[in-house]
Amino acid sequence: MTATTNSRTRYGAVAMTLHWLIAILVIANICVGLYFSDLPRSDPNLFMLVQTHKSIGLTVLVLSLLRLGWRLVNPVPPLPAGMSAPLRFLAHASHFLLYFLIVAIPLSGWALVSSSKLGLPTMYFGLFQWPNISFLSDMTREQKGPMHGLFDDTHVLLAWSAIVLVPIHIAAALYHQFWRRDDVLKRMLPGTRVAVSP
Amino acid sequence: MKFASVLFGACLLAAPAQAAHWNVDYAHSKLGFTVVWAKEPFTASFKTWKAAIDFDPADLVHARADVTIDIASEASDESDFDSGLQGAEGFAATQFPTAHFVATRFRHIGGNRYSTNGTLTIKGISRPVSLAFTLDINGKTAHMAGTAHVIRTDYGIGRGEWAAPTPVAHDVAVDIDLAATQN
Repeated sequence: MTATTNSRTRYGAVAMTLHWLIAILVIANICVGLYFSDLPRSDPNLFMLVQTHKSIGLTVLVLSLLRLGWRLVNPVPPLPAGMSAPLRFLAHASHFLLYFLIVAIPLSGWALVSSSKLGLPTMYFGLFQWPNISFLSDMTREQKGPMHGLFDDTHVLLAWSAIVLVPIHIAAALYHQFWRRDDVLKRMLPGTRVAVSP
Repeated sequence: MKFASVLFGACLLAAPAQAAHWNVDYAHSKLGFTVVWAKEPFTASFKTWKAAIDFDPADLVHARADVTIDIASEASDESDFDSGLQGAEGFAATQFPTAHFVATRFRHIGGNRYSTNGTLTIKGISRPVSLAFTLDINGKTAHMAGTAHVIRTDYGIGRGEWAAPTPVAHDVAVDIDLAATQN
C-alpha cells in the first residue's frame, strides 16, 4: 500500500498519480500536436483534433498547478546519496525545467489560442466553453497577428524542449534504476518496495 | 402637337431593350461583404464577377439584373480567413464555384433611391433577398451603390464549429458599388 504523502524514500500516491497522469497526457498531446500540425486546413478531423489537444493541454495545466502546490506543502524525497555534484545539478536542473515546461507549454498554448484572429471558442472535451485570456482575445485583429505568431513560436519551441527533455528524463530514471541501482524509478512506481537508502 | 407627343410616347414604349442595357466598368466597381468576426468587422471582396444589367428608370417593369459571382475570387487582407471561408464549412468553393443573383422586380422609392427583391443562390440554396440602392445616372454613365443583408446560415455558410453566431455573426452585409456605361 502506497502512502498518500511523500516519504524520505519514495513518492506518495498523490504525487505518483499526478506524475503519471501528466506523463501520459503530455506524451499523448505531443503526438496529437505533431500529427495535426502537418494536416491541411481542409482536413475534416482537424477541428476535433485541435479541440482535443486544447482540452488535454488545459488538463495538464490544471494538474501541473495542483502538482506544484502539492509539492510545496509536501516536500519530495531527496536525491539518492552518492551522486556527484554535477549529476545533482543536472538532476535538479532537468526537474526544474520539466516543471517549468508542464506549466509553460499549456500556458503558451492558451495564449496562442486566445490571440487567434479566428476567435474560435475552446470547448473543454465538449463539456463547457473554456474562456480565453481576455486581454489577448480583446485585442484588435491587427494587434493579434504578431502576438499570435510570438505565442505560436514559443509554444512550438517549448514543446520541442519537452520532446528532447522527456526522453532524457526517462533515460536518467532507467540509468538510476538499472545502472546505479538506487531505486529512483521505484520511488515513483506504485506497489514497489524501496530499499531504504543511507 | 398632340399627335407628336403621342408618337413620342409610342416610340418610348417600343424602345428596344438595348437602350436600357448597361456595361459594367469592373475596374471601378466593387462587390464584397462585411461581417462582424470576433467583435471586429471583417471585409472581403470578390475579384471576379459578371453582371448583366438592363435598367431604365422610366421603365422599371423591364429592368433586370443578373449577377454571377466567382466564389474562389473572394479575397481579403487575411489569407487565413479566405482559405477557411472557401473550404467545405464555408462557401465550399470547389463544389459550388459560383453564386448567382437575379432581380426582376424593381421599385423606385424616391429621388435616387431604389429597391429590388431578387433571388440569391449560394451553395445551391436560393433565398429571396432585398437590395436597397442608390442610382445616379449622368448621361451615359451610371453609379449604383447598395447593400443587402443576408443570413449566412440560410445558405449553409459556416458549418460545425462555425455555425454559432460567435465568433462570426450570422448577419452579413453584402455591398455593391457599381460603375456602368451605356453605348
